[in-house]
Amino acid sequence: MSNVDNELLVSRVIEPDATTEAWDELTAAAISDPTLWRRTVESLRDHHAMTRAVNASIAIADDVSTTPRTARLEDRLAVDAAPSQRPQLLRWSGWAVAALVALAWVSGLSNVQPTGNGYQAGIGSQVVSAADLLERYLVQGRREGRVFDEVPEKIFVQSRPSPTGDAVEVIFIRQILERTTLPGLYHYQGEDETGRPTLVRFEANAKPPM
Amino acid sequence: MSTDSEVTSTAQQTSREMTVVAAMSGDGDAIEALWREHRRWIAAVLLVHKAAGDQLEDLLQDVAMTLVSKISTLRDVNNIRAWLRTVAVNAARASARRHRARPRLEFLNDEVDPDACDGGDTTALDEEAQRVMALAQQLPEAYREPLMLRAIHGMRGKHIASIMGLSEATVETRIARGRRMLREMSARPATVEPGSAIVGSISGGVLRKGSA
Repeated sequence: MSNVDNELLVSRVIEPDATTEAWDELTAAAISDPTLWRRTVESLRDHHAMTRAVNASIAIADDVSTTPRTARLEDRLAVDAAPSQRPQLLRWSGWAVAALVALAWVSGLSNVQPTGNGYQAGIGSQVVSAADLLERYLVQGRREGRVFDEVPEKIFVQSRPSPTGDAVEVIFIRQILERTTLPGLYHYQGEDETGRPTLVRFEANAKPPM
Repeated sequence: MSTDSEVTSTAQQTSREMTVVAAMSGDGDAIEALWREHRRWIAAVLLVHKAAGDQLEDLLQDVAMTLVSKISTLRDVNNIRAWLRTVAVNAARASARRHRARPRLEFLNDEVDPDACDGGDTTALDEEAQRVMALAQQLPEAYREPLMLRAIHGMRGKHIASIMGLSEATVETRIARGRRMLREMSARPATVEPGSAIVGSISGGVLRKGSA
């Protein structure tokens, strides 16, 4: 029997669903080539080690969901359509701090009252655009020391034909570099048996995982 | 006459196809269900193709976002695994290109960093698992990918074949050869000696060490 065939036999018997026939074939081949047993043991050992490594490494996938991003996007679009609706606070990337920032952002807009024509700032009765409000936010944020600047690059999310069909609607993420001080930083580590989020606190001098 | 297991298998297949169709029509729950079903092996594919300094979680989010935005372009519902693999490989390669463009920092180290071999949390892994994973990263992609997919709990040859667009026989042969290569590499002395140059990169503000 060729060496390649022997390797297939070795590979087959270390599978979790190895058949009796595969073991019988290996046993028969090992009569003329006893090194097959050593090779089987070594490959079995490697396979178990790799199984541990791979499954530990990919477990992080369980924390990644399609829901938060689409839900946030839909919430924003819903807000555009119905200004009185506020975006729901949703977890993204497992970071409670992200929710805190979102909370601060929503709170910052809480004095902005919707009107029939658009948003009306709480200060005075002048109707201003969203871009004006954002510019005000950046200016005031810099003044307070909480905003560094807006990152020029936008993150592209999706494009689609506009409802009128004569243009392209682009959905993107605007990035603003900010600073905040929090009483603590927590990492979301899934849910307990009752479905409540489990948060683990980071030490003040510890670097959170990116 | 069909056996119970055949009927069950057919029903499961039909259910999966319906989920894909619903996802293609924009059903958020179906998209999420699709993602949950496939995300673990997608992570393994990313591990195979990603650059050393790239974060697995970031790449997973890229793939999830592409699934949401592009699933409607899928032509064949039975081709979902191969389509997702293509998305994952493209995401890893695009990120690797960006990674090469980022500033890199060279320094000397006297040991191989286990984090260099994957983007997941390997700190809890035993030495044997870290050693085998580091060796597996040196295998050619054609052997590394089926071997790592096979290491996922519950992943069978036919699933790997449909993901990679290969026959089951080819997958089995590649896995067998990959295992032989891994065994032979294990038998050789370590290729990285103390004092070797290790190249690292700054990624997300965190210095990570990686193989050159």
